[in-house]
Amino acid sequence: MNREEARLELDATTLRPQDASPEARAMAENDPQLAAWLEKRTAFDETVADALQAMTVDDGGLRDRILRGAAPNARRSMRWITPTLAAAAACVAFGWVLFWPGNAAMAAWESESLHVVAQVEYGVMKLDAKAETYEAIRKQLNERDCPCPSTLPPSLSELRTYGCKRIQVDGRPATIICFALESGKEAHLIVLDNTGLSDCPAQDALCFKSSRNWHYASWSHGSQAFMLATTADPAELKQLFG
Amino acid sequence: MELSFNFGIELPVSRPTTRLVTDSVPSFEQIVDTHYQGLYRFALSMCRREATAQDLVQQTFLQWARKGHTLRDTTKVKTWLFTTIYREWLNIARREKKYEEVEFEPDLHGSPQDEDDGADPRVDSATLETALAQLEPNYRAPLVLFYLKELSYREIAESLGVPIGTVMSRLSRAKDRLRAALLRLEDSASANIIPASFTP
Repeated sequence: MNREEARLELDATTLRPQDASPEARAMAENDPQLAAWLEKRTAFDETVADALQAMTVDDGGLRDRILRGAAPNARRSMRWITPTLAAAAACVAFGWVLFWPGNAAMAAWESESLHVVAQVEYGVMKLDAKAETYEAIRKQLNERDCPCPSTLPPSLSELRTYGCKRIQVDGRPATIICFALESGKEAHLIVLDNTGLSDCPAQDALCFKSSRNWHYASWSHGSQAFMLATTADPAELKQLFG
Repeated sequence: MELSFNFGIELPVSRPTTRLVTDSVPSFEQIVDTHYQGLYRFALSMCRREATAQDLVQQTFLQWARKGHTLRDTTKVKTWLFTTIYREWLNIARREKKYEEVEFEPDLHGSPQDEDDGADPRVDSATLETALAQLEPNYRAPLVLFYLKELSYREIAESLGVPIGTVMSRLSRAKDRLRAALLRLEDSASANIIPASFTP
């Protein structure tokens, strides 16, 4: 740092000497001419700064106008809250409808089963095992000691399958088996033990029902309860039972 | 009371400031209370019209209300506000074509003075206002920010968008010009004084 650079820096820091570099300060201490100039300059700057502060300024209630004028804009940053909350509520509602397709009129086990079916259908819940035939599925279920249908309508057991998963319905072990329908949609079969099951479907009697966009059939055979659910046309569902 | 001890060790003049838990983000009202007067003085010095200066300050805080939350470093609030108000003023001045950026050229302005000679002029608020008005905006802007004591010269450079070296040379030159203007005003004021003994 040369003398002129030190002078410029000291000149820029007369009112805030703490901002001057040690090098510039040292130069002023060792140069009497520079020190005298700095002292005089500082005195002048302090006088000017005092005069500037003493300048009467009538802001005409500026502060209040700033607060009044900017307050709505300050709040504007909060405007995202309402649409975000609305969007979140819509998402929750949509999710609720999507994944809880059941209704109050349904049996509890049916509603719970349909909830699992919806999760599998929309990919939220993954299958434990994949297989393309019902026979392969049966084999896997028996190996894993999972509930396995004792008997199925032939038109259903002949369909191509996607896979199966062990689940819980009404606190008891159950199985979901996914079939590929000709329309390209899926049909999901739930099978569980019907011993002591409340609202247990009648033996060997099909009961067709609908809830939201889901159509399903439920029945009992022996000690097992079944539910076959799909979003396909109800007629396609009925065809599966001849 | 400040106690000082001399152990032969020179303490640094500026001690590092530690951030406290209380260094939370100030509210909009607190920011207005802290800065609106300084901003208004600066704006008034630049545009010299009260209504325009008030508009500039309001516009600056309006922008703060909209965009201030994007400022990550809360220690930069003051610099942000002065930068914004200067830009707002530049926009107005350029629209009115009253301002043209002129870089300092030593050849045109002569070499800097090494030291001041003679007594300093008498300074009062009214004279200062008139003297400041005579300065070019290029010099007036850093000078007013400097005398407001709100910003360091580095922050002034940041606010005005010019290099630090430019700010230092402009400040030095501006002070010389201000002093010269104050001296001229003092001379003209004393020339206008009619001696009591004078009778036409």
